[in-house]
Amino acid sequence: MKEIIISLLKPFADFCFRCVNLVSTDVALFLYISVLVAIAVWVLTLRQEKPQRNQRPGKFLFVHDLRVWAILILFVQAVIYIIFS
Amino acid sequence: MQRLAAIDISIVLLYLIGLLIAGYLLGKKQKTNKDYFLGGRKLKWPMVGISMVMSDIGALEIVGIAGLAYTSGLSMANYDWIGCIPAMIVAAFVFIPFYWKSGVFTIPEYLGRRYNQTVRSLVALFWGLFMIANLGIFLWTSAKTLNILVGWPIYASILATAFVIGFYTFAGGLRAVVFTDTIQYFILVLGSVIIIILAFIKVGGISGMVSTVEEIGGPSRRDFFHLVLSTETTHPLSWSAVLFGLAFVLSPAYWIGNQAIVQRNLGTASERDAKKSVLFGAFLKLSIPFLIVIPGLVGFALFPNLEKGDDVYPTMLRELLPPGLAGLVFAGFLAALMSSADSYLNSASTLWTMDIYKKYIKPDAGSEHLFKVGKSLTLLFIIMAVFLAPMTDRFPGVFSLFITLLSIIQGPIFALLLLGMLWKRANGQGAAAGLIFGVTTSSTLFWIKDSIFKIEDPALYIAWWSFTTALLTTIIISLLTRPKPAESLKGLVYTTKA
Repeated sequence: MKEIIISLLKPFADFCFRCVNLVSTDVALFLYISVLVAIAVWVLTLRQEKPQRNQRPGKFLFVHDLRVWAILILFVQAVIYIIFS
Repeated sequence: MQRLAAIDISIVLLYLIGLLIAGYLLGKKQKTNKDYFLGGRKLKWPMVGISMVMSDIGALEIVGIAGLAYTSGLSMANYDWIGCIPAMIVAAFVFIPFYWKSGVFTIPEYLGRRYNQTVRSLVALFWGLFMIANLGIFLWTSAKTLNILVGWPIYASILATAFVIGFYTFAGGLRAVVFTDTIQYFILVLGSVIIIILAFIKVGGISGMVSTVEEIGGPSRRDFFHLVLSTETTHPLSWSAVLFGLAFVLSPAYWIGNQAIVQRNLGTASERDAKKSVLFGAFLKLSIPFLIVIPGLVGFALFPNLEKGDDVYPTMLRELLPPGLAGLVFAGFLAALMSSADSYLNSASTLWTMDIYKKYIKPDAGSEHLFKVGKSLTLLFIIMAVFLAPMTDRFPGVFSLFITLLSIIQGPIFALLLLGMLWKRANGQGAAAGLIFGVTTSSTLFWIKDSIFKIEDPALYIAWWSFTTALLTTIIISLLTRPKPAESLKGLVYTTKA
């Protein structure tokens, strides 16, 4: 049974390995950063994450928008990857 | 062998007694299952954020990640960076508010409402068993370290740790877990910072570490200080494994679908607080590799001939720290261990109370009755974990074992959550088939892994393929069977309003 499953899956596994092996680490880094940038862009498209009046009375500042913090965290993460890749 | 001095043992004992008292005091006013499992929905967001991170970086991570960083290098930081942060951001804005608004206690409860009770029971069963197995791993890890550092026999150490964790989790529920996690975080940070500073002083700073590693490691350590590794490496964290298995599957599955992680978010006072707690957790995560991966890297430069990578953290603790400090840092280590174990203990009890006991044994049980059942199950599970703990020794590394267990169930469950929330057409038959086929795929791939994969530990690839097969199976079977009525999906799918 084990041999049958292996013989069925092995060619596909080898094919996948050959495909990912074509990608250099520079391109891989680009893909990592793209994931972080894509999430940051998606966060920007969400509506403002303002506190409700009963949660924070007074003037609304941009730092009260939770999206700002999310983008800051993603930015720091991208910088870390660029430095240590 | 140098062991902890009397002053160190006194500090550790004082710390453990403090935890017992905290658990007792916090549990005194609790009366219902909502108090016990969700902290009465009054938990503060900064504490919840810290608790999330602490539940994730238990002693298992400290010993295991530091151990793997010792053998494999900086790439282990991927687990805490790209393996956490993107998923936490998505969880904060989409999934966590969704759970919070739906008012559920558990993830299986959500899946039961979204799909059917078979899916709920299967997921609760998988997660419940996974959590109890993990409790055993946590206890074993702490016992081994106590054995090395204090000289206590392993079984006495297992019983002592189980008693402390069991007592405060039993007495104080989620509120005690979150409170103690917060204290434990500061002790852990302090401990790790001290050990890193002393290690760098000894090795001659960052440049001393790099040159020593290059000198003793030679060409085999070429990738030691890199995050992004080629697929030609035999290392489990090649770029493709990290991106597909970790960033796309295991990480979102963990931060979105792990009951032990999500449960504390459900205990915050508002939806905004739930979001803030996850973002705060993501912010803290940026610093975690500096606290747990760096000790492994510098540990290799200082002690290159250790038999097992997992020995590096206890060895550094023993060899580098003077009396007094060793006790403090060891208390930090115990803190990390307990913060994971207590979360899994509380969550396992929540799952079995709400998704198994209430569902099948006593559907009309009131909140006070469920509160008592939850406490009894907490006790039962810690006893089971004590008996399971010695089995951990049969595996090569504690963190690998944890990831292996995780990769069997996480991918398929994540596929169900994702489709359930984003695709109205997904139905119960599709989800049940997807879950069973996904878990069968991961189990089969583990069975034949040596013949299929080119690396020794392909858990991340297995997570990816089990996720993909579960996703495709759910889609195909859902399309072939009758859809759920639209009115039954209100508030359960992202595009529908409650």
